[in-house]
Amino acid sequence: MGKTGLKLIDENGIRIDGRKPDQLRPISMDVGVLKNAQGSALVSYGKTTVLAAVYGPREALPRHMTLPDRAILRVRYHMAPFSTTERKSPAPTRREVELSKVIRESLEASVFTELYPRTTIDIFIEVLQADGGTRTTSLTAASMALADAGIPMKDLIAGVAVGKVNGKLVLDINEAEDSGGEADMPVAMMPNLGKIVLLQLNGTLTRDEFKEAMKMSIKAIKEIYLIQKQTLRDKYAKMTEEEKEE
Amino acid sequence: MLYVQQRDIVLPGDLIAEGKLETTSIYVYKEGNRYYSSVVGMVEVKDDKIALTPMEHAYIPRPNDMVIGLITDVGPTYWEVDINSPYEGQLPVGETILRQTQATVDTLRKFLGIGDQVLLKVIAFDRLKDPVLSMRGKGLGKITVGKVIEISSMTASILLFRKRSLVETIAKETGTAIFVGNNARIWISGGEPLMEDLAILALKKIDTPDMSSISISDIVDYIREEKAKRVKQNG
Repeated sequence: MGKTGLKLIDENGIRIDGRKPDQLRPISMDVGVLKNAQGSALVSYGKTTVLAAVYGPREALPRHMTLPDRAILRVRYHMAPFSTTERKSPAPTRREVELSKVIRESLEASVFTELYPRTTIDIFIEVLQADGGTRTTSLTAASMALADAGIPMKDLIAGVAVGKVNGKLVLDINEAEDSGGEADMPVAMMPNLGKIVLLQLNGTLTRDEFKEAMKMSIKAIKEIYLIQKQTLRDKYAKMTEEEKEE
Repeated sequence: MLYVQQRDIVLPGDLIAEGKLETTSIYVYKEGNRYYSSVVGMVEVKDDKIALTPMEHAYIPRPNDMVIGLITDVGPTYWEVDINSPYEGQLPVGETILRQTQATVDTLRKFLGIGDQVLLKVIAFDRLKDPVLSMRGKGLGKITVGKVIEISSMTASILLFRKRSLVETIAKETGTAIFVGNNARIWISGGEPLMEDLAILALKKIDTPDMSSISISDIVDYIREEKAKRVKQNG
């Protein structure tokens, strides 16, 4: 039984949304969805849907914020008022300010900011629908939007959350499992380089559970990474095909 | 050891080579003895040398670049110029035909106003200061005739450095003069309005990620076809 007394996983190990413990939700991705932004991406993990837009590098205003040796990243993580079951006030909450910082620090590990001193790269992340795992979905979307904008970076970032419900580790948790479970661990990586850029843990896991959870997330991140790459490649392949048809 | 082939599309984090690699691209980075791409781009291999042309990139000014700028503000002794880059250009009075002593806001405004397009040269840029531009030199100055368009940064670098012949062909076919600025803006002038529009159409046609596969004869055929259509409509 979870914290709320809900049964989140049945005798056969099937979760409330019918998935196996190590199964991802259906993932869909698209890049270049916004015309005005330099780069953009729309990513969904199941019902969680996130839109990311990148502007820049551009002149930073106010100017005193700029750094003489590198670009600054400004990240706004925001949940739309209609993203949750009950209306969320559009004003930035403490949680959103914190997540903006966490996401920014993860992205800073991959972006070559030193190529554009005295400028800013603005990243806007809008959660259109929230159903657990918004921060990892946001990171995945933001990194694809950055690639779409042509901003040099070490590697794409892909993320996924592992949770523990009814004493069992489950991959890519949704809202019910997040609030009813015993632990929630978002992980984000630069998969090709094998570097972790985000690791948080809410709740308790034993050492063995932690190791197992890491293994599960790394495997899932590699799957997500493949979809990311395919989506970016497809954009250019599609443009080439359209050209030929004309 | 190379892991890519001619005209492969690479993504950030893709392994390009291991061991020794010759490249001048700032978009290839090294970790240990492995070379990775940092952008979405196209690789061109030429006898062990690698060139990586990014699909999108921001224009970073370099001295002696020719740029097409847009005046955005008039200061007491200089103009601020948008040069399609993260850095705003500055055109000081001393770098124009005006004399320093004539510099008043009135004379400056009369000489170049907000919204004017100008062809300029970058004379200095060192990342700590904004790029300094100059109007002194052959062909530089205010753009008074023709049209200016913006194309993708990738197409611009290909047109500038590898496929100048494409630009020359379009210019010849349409009887216009085409100037490709380093900052991905193109100035088309000299022809009748119809021919200028045809040149723009042809430039837009080649402005795709797949432009390397467009041959000169394709573009000649395209222009002739479009021209025939338009002459018929008007005639």
